[in-house]
Amino acid sequence: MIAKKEMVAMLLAGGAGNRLYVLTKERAKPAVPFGGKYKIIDFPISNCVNSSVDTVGVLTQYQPLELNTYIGNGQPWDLDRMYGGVHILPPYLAGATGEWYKGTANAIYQNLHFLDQYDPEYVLVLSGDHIYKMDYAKMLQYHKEKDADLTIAVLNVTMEEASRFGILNTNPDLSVYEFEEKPAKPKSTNASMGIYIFNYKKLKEYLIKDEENPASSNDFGKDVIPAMLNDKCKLFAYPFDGYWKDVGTIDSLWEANMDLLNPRLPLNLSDPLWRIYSRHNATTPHYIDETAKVTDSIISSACEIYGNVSQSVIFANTTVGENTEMEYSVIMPNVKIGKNAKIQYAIIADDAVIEDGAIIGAAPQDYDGEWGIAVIGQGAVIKSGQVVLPKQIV
Amino acid sequence: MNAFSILFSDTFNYDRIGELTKNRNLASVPFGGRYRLIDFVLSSLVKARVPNVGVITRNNYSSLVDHLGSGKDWDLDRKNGGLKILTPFANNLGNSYSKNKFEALNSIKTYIRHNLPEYAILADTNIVCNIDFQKMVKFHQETNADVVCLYKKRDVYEGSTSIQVNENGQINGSRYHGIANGEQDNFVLKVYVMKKSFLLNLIDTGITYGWEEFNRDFITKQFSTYRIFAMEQTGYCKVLRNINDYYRANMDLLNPEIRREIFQSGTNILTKIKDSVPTMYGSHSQIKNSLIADGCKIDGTVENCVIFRGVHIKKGAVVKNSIIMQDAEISENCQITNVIADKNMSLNEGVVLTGSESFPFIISKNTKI
Repeated sequence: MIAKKEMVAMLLAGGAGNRLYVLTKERAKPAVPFGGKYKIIDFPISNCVNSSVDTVGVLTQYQPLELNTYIGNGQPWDLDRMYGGVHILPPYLAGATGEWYKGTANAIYQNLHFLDQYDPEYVLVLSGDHIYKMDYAKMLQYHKEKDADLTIAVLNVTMEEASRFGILNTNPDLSVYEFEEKPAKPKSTNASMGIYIFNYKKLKEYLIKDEENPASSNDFGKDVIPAMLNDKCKLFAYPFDGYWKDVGTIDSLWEANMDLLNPRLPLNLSDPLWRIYSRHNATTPHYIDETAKVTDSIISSACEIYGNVSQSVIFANTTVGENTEMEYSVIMPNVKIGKNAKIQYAIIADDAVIEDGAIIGAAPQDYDGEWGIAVIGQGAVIKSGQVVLPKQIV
Repeated sequence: MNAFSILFSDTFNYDRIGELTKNRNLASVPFGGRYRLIDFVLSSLVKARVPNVGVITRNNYSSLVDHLGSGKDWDLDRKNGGLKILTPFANNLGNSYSKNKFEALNSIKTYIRHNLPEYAILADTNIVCNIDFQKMVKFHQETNADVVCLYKKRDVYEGSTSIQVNENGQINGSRYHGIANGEQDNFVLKVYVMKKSFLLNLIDTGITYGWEEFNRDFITKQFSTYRIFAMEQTGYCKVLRNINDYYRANMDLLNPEIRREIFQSGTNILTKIKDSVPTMYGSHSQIKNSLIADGCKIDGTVENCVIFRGVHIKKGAVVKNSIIMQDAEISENCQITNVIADKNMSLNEGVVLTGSESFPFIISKNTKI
């Protein structure tokens, strides 16, 4: 018998992340590198550990290999525990009934046995595509104070943004009376951050009910939360006012990386009391040569910089050749960039090779066509002198 | 590999890296931006799949214990064997501080006896190079030697003893150098391979005759009694015996060929993992020819430096030809030249510190100026 846990986290990491195009061709979205040395999933997992949530189920489905390898036994996050720790939960066959995860709610439904092992009071449901720091212990405290069945973390967004989110309309005491998924005319600006604390008994009851309903799409936002509201369950909004960024698109992923270059960013990654942990390779310090010029940039270990770099985020083990000009770009690990290349407003994924003199992307003011971030996929080779236009995806 | 290893965190000589070894032993002297000296030989042992490593400590070993922990970051937190820190009073044979390597080995005989592998590897920890231990053990088997050691051709130091090696690799002579005459000769690197049974007998013999030093009392004197063989260590290899060795070896890492040889020739140099953020450069930063670890914030000028983790260098500060260890704070308009700054130095605005290339200025730990 495993000891009872007060709260178990379930991290939904199975999304395909289609809007990241080549960046998620061979991996799930939570495995996409971020911020010079992390992967997106490091943020929710580190938040769990820092909030004393030591039991985390990671639900995987789409291209799980890289993610599974990365999580391993959870040791980098201090989640290699005797009781609890991190568990990878893929879909599985159970007699004749096994199937893929049909939706977010169904994914948890299929793992009710996992949750039952720990017999938790509360279940924290998280998604694996957001960058933020949050103390879930405080949210749990709030959930208990409000004696809620479900607490949903909300962020105050602008009216224009509101129609892209699930919006919670609340009474003055922050109890929720209405939930609207991507409303055309939002009534408020309380956007759901996809962070839920459920009373486990209620969650189980509604998941079983939801599964019995053949018309349901088995989604938390579309089915489970409306059903709970309908039955007058106690739903509360938990306001959050820190930095939070959905990195589900090329533009938002690029912006979130660029945000890190702003010294006044309200997301302090070097806070010793709230570290973001990640899996490390044994790498050397980075080297900056006499020929290089580096300003306003983040540079990770084992890089060798011989060119000019400004306003960029460079991950580990990347080489930037002499006379190469780089600005406003995100370069993921193990990229080889030759000499005399020009890289502006680009995301270059892991293991890509950029040969001498290649030109990738351009500044918006220098380009007449439809502008966007240029993207080079994992392992792509850009030949000497080749030109990759803005918004082009290779 | 069918071998275990014993590392000496101190050489039991007078090898001291100035202020840097005041509160720590040689093994845990910070090096190369994020490492400790012991990481190099330890990484070579890990690469050769040596399953058990015991580290002999004498005093000042708190920083070493901090660094090594359970051995996890070297994949040496094993169910069977793995890393073991051998403290001075670990068993009933150790009733005083060991004064030399033979006494130290005598006090850990239980550890040696309980080790199952057939071969023993003994090594000092102040050696910066990649050692092929598999090759050493194979050479031991092929030559049917009693002991195999490594040697390196290098400049003669005053008071050192060189060896002569015949065409089979057997040592057949030695010579004491009273003065440094600018010549080069073959010198033993303090890395030895022998059978466990031979080591146990050798400890007894050494204690009987009052031997103190492996190299001085055994290798360079007993080569006609025992079959002692030596293998040449090629490539970059530095033994750090004093502050000048230390300064030069750090600066060597700014050379791309040496860097490649040490870090990219197939041996991952493993070290303790700290979850620091990547380094951030500000708009005024000017960096030339420098090796910089994670977690720094740099907005000043840095030239020909090795900068450790978590160092802050503010706008207008100029740091040249220096080694700046972990968590230093260098405020606006400071000027630092030829300095070795131990951990956690903190400089107020406008401080000027200048050493000389042949005599770098050493700032001890936690200094505030």
